[in-house]
Amino acid sequence: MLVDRQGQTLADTWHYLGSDESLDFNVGSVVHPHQWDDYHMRFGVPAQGLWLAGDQDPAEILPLLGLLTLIVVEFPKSRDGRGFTLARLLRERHGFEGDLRAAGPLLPDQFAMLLQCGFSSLLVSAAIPAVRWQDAAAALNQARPRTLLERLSQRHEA
Amino acid sequence: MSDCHLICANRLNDGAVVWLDAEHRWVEALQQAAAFGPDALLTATHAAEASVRANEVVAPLPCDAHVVEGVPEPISLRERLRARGPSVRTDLGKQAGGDRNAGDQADQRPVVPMAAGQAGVYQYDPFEREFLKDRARQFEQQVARRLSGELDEEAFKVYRLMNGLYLQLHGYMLRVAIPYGTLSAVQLRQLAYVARTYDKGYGHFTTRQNIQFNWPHLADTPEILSVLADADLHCIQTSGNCIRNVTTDHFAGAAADEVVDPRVHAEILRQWSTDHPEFTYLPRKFKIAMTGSPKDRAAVRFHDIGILAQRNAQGEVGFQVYAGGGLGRTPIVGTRVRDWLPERDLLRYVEAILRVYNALGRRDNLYKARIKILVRELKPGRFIEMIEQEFASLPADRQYLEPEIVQAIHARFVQPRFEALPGLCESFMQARAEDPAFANWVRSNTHPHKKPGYISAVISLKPSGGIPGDISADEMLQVADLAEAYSLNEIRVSHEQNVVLPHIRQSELYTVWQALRKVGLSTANVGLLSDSISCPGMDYCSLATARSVPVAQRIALRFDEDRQREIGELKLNVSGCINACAHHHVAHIGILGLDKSGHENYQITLGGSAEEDAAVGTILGRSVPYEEVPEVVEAIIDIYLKLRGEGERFLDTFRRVGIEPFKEVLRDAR
Repeated sequence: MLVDRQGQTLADTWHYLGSDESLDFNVGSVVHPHQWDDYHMRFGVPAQGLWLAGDQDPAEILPLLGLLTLIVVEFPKSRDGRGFTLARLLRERHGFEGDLRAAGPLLPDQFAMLLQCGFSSLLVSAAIPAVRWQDAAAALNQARPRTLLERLSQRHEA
Repeated sequence: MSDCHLICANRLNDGAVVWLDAEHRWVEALQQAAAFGPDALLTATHAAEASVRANEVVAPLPCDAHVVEGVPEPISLRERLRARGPSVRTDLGKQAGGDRNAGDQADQRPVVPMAAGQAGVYQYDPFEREFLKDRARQFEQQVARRLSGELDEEAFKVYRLMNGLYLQLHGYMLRVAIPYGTLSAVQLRQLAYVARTYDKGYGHFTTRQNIQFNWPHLADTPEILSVLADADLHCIQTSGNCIRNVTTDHFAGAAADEVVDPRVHAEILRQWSTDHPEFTYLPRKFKIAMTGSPKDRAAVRFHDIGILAQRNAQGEVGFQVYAGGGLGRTPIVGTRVRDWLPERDLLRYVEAILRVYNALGRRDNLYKARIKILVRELKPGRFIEMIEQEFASLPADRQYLEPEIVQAIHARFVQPRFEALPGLCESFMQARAEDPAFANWVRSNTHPHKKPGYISAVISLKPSGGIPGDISADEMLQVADLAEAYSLNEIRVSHEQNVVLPHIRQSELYTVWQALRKVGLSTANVGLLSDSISCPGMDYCSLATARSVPVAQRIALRFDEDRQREIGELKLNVSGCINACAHHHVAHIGILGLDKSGHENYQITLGGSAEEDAAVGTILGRSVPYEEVPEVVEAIIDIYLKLRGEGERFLDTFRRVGIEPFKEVLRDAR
């Protein structure tokens, strides 16, 4: 199930290739790093999406960033937080401006943190009622700085 | 070895220990439980699994049993303790019968709800209070979803742990954060209220300066969180793989040798780490300690990050930073990663360390997931290089800790109204001279204060035969009253599981001591042998491999206070498993409980230190059975007394003579 920044579910037009799936041309293909070159060579155009494991070293994919519309960061478990750091690095250090999508058994309670780290969409389990994501987005929209430090730091950065 | 099994579980809504009976119903009394033979076990296990799916119980487990006079008896010590209750509190648990919780004493809701900003020593504003109340409401919904079955235990566990709620041997355990060990009288009264209303009338202070309640019901916990929030208290980040409660020196804000009050930066780190978007799902828990004195009373070298606040020649604040220290199954002294970190860079630098750890810390093996293992695997030099590289690459606008921010946080601490007093107090000197019991207590339990005429006093929670760190609701109220009357409303909790009245006028110390003596809180043993740190051990904890509290008790009972004074400074800590919650590795005498084919055995280490001269203790030799621990400890002490030179503490003698002379105690012991 694809969820956007407002917690709304969307139709998903992307085509996610399995890590050991044979390559197949699709306009919205999302490939794994080891499939990238193959895909490019075989079909003459780069894939528009890249699927990353949480432990991906961003340095290895830097040359691809400018070609990508979508990066999916996989969370193998909801408690495996490497994807949060990877997202921040891709956004803040490497300036990726496309759609950054978190995929895995994520929880609605992680919604705010995912967005704060730079994710712009989520690929989540359909087992969680869609309304939970809407509730999470609504809560985030109403959220005020919770601590004095947050308020003071925002003032500084603004 | 046994051919029948009990099936034991905790009931979902209140955590009560229950067993399956012959009809596959859950019963609270062991007498009614069924001992399943090999043929019946499989269907019984299926029945138990079905009731997990029906959200009636959590974690059912078959355990070996035998039948004694028609009643099934579990064989393992852990399951026997579970069936009876803590061996050190025979008035609690199944063995005591009766109601699980006090409840009916909930007559005096003390001073709450009170306005935000008036509860704690650090004053929250209405937004911060609202955040805590919100968290309680969120948890209420999560608990409701769990009880209704929308969430299974696996999914709920994440939320439960985020709010400090564990499931242990006898039921749920709720751990309340006490940021940097600082409490106001109002807050301590609120904790007393929780203990009385929702628990069994007591709490247990931990080495993270937190307090735990051992008997709450799941259904009550959202209300407990809400009541705590009324006094600006919470359970956030007291469990789970996140940044835990930042601990400090228990004399913070009072100690004569203090250079920087570490609570201000600890509070900044608390705010920074609360629900941190990037660092809430780390490979493993993450502990930060901070001190502002040259004397390290916060064990900073044994933390994931240890911070020593200092001042340079210009009087500016900066930090010496250690990282990658820790205890547990791989005790390691932290690596000094920075000699001088300007105050302005504190949050950026801590972010850099955490980012390196979050990206690279191991997630494949629970036992290798702490940052200390990463530092060891990378080698300290490479680790420092990576932190510095990360630090240098942070966005230019990221969270500098500007002086105005530090000042604003500092201003939120209620400034104690010290009076100008003479440095020497005649009546205090006189009381000391005339009352030897008072003089002894002053010598062991007080610490010099930075303001003339004041003194800090430690209230020992280690009375002879008591449970280290346990405090009854009545005692909480008594301490709160004394804090209000004599300590400018402030209380500290020490990582050694005692409480401190930080700001007492010397002229009133005798009165305070007399009041403490009246209620049995004047034990004069701080820093002495019976001032042991002890984890709850197998009496409460499901991770424990042996009991710890009764070991500490039995050792303490062998030495009266005079003898302890003659022995002098000695730290003896007892952990009930390799996780080392009682910091046994850094005790002068450390005792670690192990399970040796179903029997409690204890490994002894000597010569550890958690202070500036940080050291991990050396293993003495083979482990000794439960019964023999006190005599072995006594033999170790005798050797020390024989060998010690003029003015030498146990640790000094050990360092001079090494482990060899002590080894004979194991040869002599049966």
